[in-house]
Amino acid sequence: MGKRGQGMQFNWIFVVIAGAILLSMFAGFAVKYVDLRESRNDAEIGRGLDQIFLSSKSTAQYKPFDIGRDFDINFLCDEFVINKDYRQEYDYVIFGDDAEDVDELIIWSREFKHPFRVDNIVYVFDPRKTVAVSENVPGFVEGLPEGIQVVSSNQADIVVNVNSLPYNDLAFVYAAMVSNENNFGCGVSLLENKFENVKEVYYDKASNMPGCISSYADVKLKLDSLFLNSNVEELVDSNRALNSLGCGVVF
Amino acid sequence: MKKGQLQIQETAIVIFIVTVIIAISLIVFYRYTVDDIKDDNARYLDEKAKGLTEIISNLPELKVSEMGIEADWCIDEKKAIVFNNGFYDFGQKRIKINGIILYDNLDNVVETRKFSSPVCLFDPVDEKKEMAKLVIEW
Amino acid sequence: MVKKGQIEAVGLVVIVVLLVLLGLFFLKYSGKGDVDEDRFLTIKANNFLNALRQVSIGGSSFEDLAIECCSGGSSCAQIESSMVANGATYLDEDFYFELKCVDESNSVVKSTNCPSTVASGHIVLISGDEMFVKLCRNF
Repeated sequence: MGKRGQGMQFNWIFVVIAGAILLSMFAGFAVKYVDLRESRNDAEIGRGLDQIFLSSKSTAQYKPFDIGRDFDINFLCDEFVINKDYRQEYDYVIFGDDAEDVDELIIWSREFKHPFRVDNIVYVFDPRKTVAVSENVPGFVEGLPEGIQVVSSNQADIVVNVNSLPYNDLAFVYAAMVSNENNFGCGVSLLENKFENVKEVYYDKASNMPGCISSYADVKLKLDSLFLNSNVEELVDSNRALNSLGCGVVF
Repeated sequence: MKKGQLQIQETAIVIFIVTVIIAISLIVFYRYTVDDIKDDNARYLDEKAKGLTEIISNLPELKVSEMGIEADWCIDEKKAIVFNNGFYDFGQKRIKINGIILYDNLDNVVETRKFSSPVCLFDPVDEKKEMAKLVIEW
Repeated sequence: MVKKGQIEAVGLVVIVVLLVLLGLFFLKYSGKGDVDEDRFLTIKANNFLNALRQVSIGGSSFEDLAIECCSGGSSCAQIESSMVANGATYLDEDFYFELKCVDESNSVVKSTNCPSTVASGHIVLISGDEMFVKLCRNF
């Protein structure tokens, strides 16, 4: 009789242990699954943002990005990171700064011309921040999309020091406003490379255009000495002159 | 004693079989999830490749621009000819417009997918526009 | 008593196996539809119209000739042949094209409507006349 009781006890212990093992297996699986779902969500956010940035490059536009859920974003030189987990690489000109627990971003793009269009620069901004510029910049406020608060310098989270910018263009004021130092430097460098590439394409196009030899040579000469901080009037005039001569313009 | 032993054995066998079946289910579910993620990734890469038609035709290095005015969905033939200078990296793809190769990095790929979109091709010499096919292969 | 236990064990196994099989079937056949394909074909259809309107025919653009056709001019035949030729060469799908003029008596239609449309495009010309294209589903 005693042994029967012992047998039953032993059976229960065995069942409890086996049950505990199974339960811990399920719990471990559930935790892993939740982690996987989080990673997947981060990837969806990252890819969604990448698609928005790329479509903003095609046409100048403004888009608020609101997914109804908080996330972190960090902008590095050639990638941005979502929730310190998903890394999305990019090779286009975009300016943005790190933001924590943000559920809405303002994304807008703006043509950058010198004098031909070089790129549609994408700017990403956390609307919770306020901005100011160190001195009056014509067109600064008018060029901003809705939702960005411009305040006086002593009240602003971000004050753009206009005199420290590498080039005298509103594009760089906005870039300095929305980005951190690292991202700003990388974005400017990429934009400079892009500018050189577009210039080279127009130079090669001018080399392959028939007729009006001296006029195309003049345009090529001016393209050769064109930089982001140089005046563009003479180049524009030379290009316009091609049109008056009945030759195809270069840009 | 024997009854007790049999009971334990019976319980053990049942638990063992249930554990094995649950393990198999979990493996199947894991495989399904991995396949789902792979499908998702493949769909994303496809979308990105097809979306290149919009990106390519809006690049300032290709888009028609005359005195600062750009023509939508129209590529300048003279620009297209000189475009393939190694500046852009679109990954393992081949991009052509009417026989002009804009980008080619598909050397070792055997099976490819294609997506084409009509665009206009502009000749800046005679200022004529004709229809063209922008083909992305990946 | 031994047999009762065995029957219970077998019963449990059968139930679990059935559940797993049901689950597998459910997972295999609950797939997502091919929605993204239509989005890109819609872009393609609109691109076709955007490119077509700019195509040079003689010294004019397709859009100029379309507007002339809609105003009662003689360019309707040119429009139709250019549209058919370009569509056949630059669209991979069978298509339906319509130039819908503000004055509907001058409208141009390429063929009978698609039995099933996979994507469609639409643009409005500067005159208010409209161009439609539908890409037909290939069965």
